[in-house]
Amino acid sequence: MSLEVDEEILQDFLVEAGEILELLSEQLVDLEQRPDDKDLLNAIFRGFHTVKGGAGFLQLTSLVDCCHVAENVFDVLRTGKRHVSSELMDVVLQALDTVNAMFEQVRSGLEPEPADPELLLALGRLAEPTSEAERKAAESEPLRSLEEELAEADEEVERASVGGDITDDDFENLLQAITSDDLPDDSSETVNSSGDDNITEDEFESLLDELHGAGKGPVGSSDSNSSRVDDLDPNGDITDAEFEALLDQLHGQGKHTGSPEVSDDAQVESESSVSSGRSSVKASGEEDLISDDEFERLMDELQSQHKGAFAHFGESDGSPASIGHPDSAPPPEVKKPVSAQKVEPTKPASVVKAETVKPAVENKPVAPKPVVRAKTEPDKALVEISEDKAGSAPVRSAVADKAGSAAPAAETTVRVDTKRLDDIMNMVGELVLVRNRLVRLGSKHADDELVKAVASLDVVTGDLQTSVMKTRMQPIKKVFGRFPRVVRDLARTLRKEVNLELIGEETDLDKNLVEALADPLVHLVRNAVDHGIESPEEREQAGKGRIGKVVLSAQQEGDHILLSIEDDGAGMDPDKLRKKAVEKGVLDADAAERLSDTECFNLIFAPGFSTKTEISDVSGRGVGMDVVKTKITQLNGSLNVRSVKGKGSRIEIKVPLTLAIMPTLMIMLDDQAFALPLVNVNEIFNLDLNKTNVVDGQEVVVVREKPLSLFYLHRWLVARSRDEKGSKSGHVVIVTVGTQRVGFVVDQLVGQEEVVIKPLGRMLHGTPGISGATITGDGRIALILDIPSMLKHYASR
Amino acid sequence: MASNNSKIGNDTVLQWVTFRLDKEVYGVNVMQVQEVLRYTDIAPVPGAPAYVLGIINLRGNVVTVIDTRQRFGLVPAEITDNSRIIIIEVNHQVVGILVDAVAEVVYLSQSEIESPPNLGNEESAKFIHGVCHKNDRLLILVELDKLMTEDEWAEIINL
Repeated sequence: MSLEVDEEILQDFLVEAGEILELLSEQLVDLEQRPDDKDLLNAIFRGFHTVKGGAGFLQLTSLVDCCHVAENVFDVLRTGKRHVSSELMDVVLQALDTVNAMFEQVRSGLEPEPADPELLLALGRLAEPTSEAERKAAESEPLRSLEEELAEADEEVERASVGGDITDDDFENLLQAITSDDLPDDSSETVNSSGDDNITEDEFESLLDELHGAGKGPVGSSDSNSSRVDDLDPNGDITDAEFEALLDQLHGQGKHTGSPEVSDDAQVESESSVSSGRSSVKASGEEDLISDDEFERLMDELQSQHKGAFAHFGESDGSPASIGHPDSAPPPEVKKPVSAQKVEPTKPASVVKAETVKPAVENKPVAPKPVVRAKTEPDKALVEISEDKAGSAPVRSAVADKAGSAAPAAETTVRVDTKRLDDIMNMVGELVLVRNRLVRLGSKHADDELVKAVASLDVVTGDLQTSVMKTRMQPIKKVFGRFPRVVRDLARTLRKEVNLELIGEETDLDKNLVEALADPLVHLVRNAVDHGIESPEEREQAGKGRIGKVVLSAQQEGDHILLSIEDDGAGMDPDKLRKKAVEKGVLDADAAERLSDTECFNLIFAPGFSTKTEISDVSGRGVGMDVVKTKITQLNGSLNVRSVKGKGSRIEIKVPLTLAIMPTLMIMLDDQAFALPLVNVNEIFNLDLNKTNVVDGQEVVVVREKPLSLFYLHRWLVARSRDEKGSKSGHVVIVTVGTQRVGFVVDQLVGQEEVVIKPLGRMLHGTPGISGATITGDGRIALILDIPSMLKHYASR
Repeated sequence: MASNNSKIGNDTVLQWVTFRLDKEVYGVNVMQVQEVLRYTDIAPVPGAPAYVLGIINLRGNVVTVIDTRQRFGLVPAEITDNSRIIIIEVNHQVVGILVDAVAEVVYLSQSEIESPPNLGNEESAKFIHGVCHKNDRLLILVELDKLMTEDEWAEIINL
């Protein structure tokens, strides 16, 4: 571990940032469809910002740098100074990839490599608003002068901040400059009799810019009430007490009217609190988002200045030492009535604000209102503040979303180690076994009471099992979420036009399964786009629309999940597959001729089989489908291919809902119990063993005019094999393995049983034909048979 | 038997669980022993290595049982009322070993343990940690870590 950071914090960061990054890739692809969605832009901005905040705390400088520029790009986008284009998306997606790569490096304990400077440069260029002239043309006439002045002010701020921290005087001057600049503009434009005690969006933006330029905002302040960042960051964030104190001061400011020079005090105060966050900011690099409270303070300052500074509070309030000791602030009970009467006007105020027109009286109480709420519940206050103002300015709605989504989430969910869930799952599994045992015992006794008790135990255990299983369930969205991106990128590379449709994203399945399915699905989706969908020209020739369609769907079917990948592309040509199979030496010509069309389609899963003549980045090695097949088989799932030439293909995957519990058919060989996975079992019948034929040394039986190879499991699995010649009839279980169907002769059929799979010890791991063991209802051990591996091991002899 | 648990100088005193196999008495480190079970039905595992007798159900967990006699190059014996399965944990792996009988726990100081005589067949010599003469008896101390190694397992797979 080369990173010298607290492991626990790092782990938290990895989990949280991992989720955010996953979400980001989804959102970015969404953004391309809906480039003007403000909420989406804000969400993406926040995503990058949060990752940056966390990375900054962990001093992952290169990660911070990359997130920072990406964040800047979205800052520009969401303020409408630039619009989403596909070139921009390419760069941003590339940035996300870089961030993801770095993130992986961090995960594996390495210091992330700095991002490609060219990428950073490209991002940096995109973070600039679309040229000054363009912008001005776009802006409305009265606002132009203001814009210019603001730009000047911005520059000033930037210049001032180059040397490091902005001084109090500078800051004050800037504020003065802005506010005085505002006066003529606003009065000329608005119908406000009292002039300009109100800030416009532009003013607000300029304030943001100032803060941004000064680089003083505390780290992670945007999620001040939501994430662990503040708990971990004593310097970077103000504590609740401090926050309250500040609010008190603000409140006082709003309440009293008095000497005109007070606005200076307000600035001193904001300065002091800003500087309290400064130390951590420096550690994490630049910061460009202000926190809620800073925002509130700035609002107040502006207001008080416009008003001719009616606010007043003591010198001690302004000094950093007094933060947390609001002695001079009015007691809470005084505030309550004040704010109560002011609650009403606040809401209209925020609405009007958006139109840059607002009466003076309404604006005043903006700060006081949240104060009282903050007194009692600081967290909620933040949510409410931001909700009230949501929609007025982008940043504010960003804050609102963040706070709004984080606060309830913290109350309703708990992060649990999967290990713990696995343990619970295991214990429930044991309980299920005990129940099975009791059910069996109960059926032997005719005691009514016992039967009832067992029956209710049966029900409760069943429910418990389902509930515990549900805790491990995750929506398949987690896997599906990455596909829009995969398809988009692939379609761009291959110059195809593809629409991806996702159905049943909310289908829940076992966490392990969700993870295990990710790879096979990626292969299949890539295949659908690469092999399935034709180029737009070919499609037009074939009389189809230019845009191909890939449908990825998931649904629950009993105790299975059915996943399907369907495309409306070229479909597969069985004859071509036959030819290819012979060419590749997978089959000889005769065998290929005899294959049914369905069997031909299954050839695509054979290792080394590829219809592509050239190996490309995307496909052609003939490995992918083999991997898919292997993986799905491992998951006790099955694959099914359907294809119509010229119409498209459909690949269906059936996997069990969970990996922990498996429905099986219990059989007996001699006095040993074995479990056949029910997925494989096709049918069971009783057979007169004399009616078998021998073909090429292999015993076969004809079932519904189709010959089936017949195997005696007894000979394979029981050491002291007795002579079966004596028995005239036997039970035959027909199982399906891939497209092959074979019959197993067993001694005795017990019945269907749900079993908990117990792994075999290391010494026995990999024993051919055995995938695990389980404990039967009567406490004995049954081996779970792995049919494909068993056939491979025994039948080939 | 020395029931004295005190340390004599720098001499570490170790406790050993002794068991009988054929005519010899063996000892395993008590720290590696989880429990001792009466003989229960062992479910054979087809295709498993020869020295694996099968698996048992230990309160819901599946435990592999090793045929110690086979492993030590002894002839198979009948299961008797004295037969026991010792559940041991080696390298985080819980396994059972089938023995003829379990006797007692003895205390041996490190100095009492002699290195094994370089005799015997190679099959069993690998597992011998040392021997100890005590009360006119020869106690063979078994190194359980060597009862199964990755290499051996790999060998078995490749057969």
